[in-house]
Amino acid sequence: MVSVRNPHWREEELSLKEVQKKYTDVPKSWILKADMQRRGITFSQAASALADPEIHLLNSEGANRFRQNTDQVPNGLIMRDGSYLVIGNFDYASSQAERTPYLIDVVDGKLVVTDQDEVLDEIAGYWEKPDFFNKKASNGEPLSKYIACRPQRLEITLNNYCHFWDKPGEGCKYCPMSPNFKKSGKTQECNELKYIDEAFAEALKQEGRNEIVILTGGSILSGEHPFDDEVELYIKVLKLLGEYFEGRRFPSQLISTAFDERQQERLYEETKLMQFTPDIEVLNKEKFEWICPGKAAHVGYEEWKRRLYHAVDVFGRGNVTTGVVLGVEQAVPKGFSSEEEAFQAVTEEAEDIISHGIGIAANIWRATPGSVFQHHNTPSLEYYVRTLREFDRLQQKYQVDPFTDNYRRCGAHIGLDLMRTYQEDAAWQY
Amino acid sequence: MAVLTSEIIKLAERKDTLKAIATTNHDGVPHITYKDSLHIKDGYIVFYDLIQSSQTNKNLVDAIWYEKSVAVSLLGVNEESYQIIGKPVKCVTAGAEFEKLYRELREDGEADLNAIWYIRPEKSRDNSYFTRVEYERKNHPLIRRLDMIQKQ
Repeated sequence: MVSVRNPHWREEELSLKEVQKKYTDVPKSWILKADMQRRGITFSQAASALADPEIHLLNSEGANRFRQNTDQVPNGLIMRDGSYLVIGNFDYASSQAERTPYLIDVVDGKLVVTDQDEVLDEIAGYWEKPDFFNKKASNGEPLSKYIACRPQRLEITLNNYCHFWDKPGEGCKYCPMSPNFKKSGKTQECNELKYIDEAFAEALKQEGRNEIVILTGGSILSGEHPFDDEVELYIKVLKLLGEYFEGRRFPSQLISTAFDERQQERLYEETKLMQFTPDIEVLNKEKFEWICPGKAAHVGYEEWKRRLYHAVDVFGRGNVTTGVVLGVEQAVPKGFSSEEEAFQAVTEEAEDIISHGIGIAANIWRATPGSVFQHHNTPSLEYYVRTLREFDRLQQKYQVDPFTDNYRRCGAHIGLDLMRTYQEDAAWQY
Repeated sequence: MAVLTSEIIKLAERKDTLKAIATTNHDGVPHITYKDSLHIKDGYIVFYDLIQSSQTNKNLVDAIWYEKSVAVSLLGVNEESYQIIGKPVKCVTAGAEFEKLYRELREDGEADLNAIWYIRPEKSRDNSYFTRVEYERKNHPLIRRLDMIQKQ
């Protein structure tokens, strides 16, 4: 049983059904999915029993840099519409949760999501694990240690520690990655490329499984210029992966800090990288400087945007996106004090970025255990629905297509599910 | 009575049957395409969508989100025809079922698999010309041209 910090939370915001009734131009199931991310989920005994370690991708398997919890629960859900719900990315507070999580249960033999004993929708299933997770590297370690995955993508985390945390107080306040790394007692930040290569070769053998490979990791500040060592590392790995593919590019995405022009051009020229995603995280200069002090000190908000815009010239329109932790701009005490004020500021800034041909991949902020903001309150469901809906409107207005962050290749950015019905063929514009 | 009768199931599985699916986009604009990849399985109409950017796929997504109906039409070589109305209830985009079909399609030379759609049939009818004419003559006997019913 999950204990809740504020037992009156339901009285203080619009309910799921009220939001669904108010915003009829977006799917009800989409609003539910957004709320499942926001409030979190737990599993009944019957639902847990359906998670088979031989078949499904469970939290206890594979390295997850965002979690401390190692419960044997599924890493993700597959929704009826074929989209994915990423639940393994961040821990939910199992004690003192902000709001009551949804319950995944089995009713009449069906896997369902419930709230207050009401069945809200059927769940299609749990993520299945890839074949290579059952195999070992030449050093005897499981290959899952080197490459993680989602239903249709491979994930390579090169550096498990973020050096923005080197100076006390400079780490991003919503992120548990580096605190988790420190707490784990591990000292090896990077995996050896040899074993990443072995895992990748094995992963490619599974036909129909993978659409894209993403590279990411904690920032490395060292080098002749800041981030040079990090860029060098990515180039090495991308060259290694690029050997497996014909042509100048392959479906690949780098989610990282905002590298400068020279570093971006090196990545583009020396590798087959397709997509560049320097996550700006917070859509407001003042809040960014408070929430991401390391990023502010080493790059700066305006410089981050300038580098983002330059990346469009390097990688091409449609091949640059930026992630944000939506809602964190309302953290106390320095965040926006009202949802209306936050909505106005965030959507205005989003328009500036999207108008440059850059897709915004918004995550729904959860106050994650281990992060500086772990005990904070997150915004209402209505705020998320309203803001993501506006991002979608802007994205259609400026005809931006961040397909690498969509329901299938990523799954974490629920707002981008709405792209699934965009009309794209000019000849068929009715 | 089952929505998917044995006649419908037999017709759907014949290689020479013409199979069409009609969907609408969010604004209600219709879209009809002929799909050999429509099948019947376990009481559902199962549609293999082979192209990620297909309009049918977009419309099926819209239908599952907003609980809209779609129509499937079958036309056999002997002019037998059935129409089935249903709602998409599940879209499979990953996992063992998806990968198995992907491999089968690849063996047949198909380029890709986007999704496996499950459409729950809600009603069906014999839509062949002769059946419809018989129905109309029985239920609307006076909806006829005068010259057709005048005394000889």
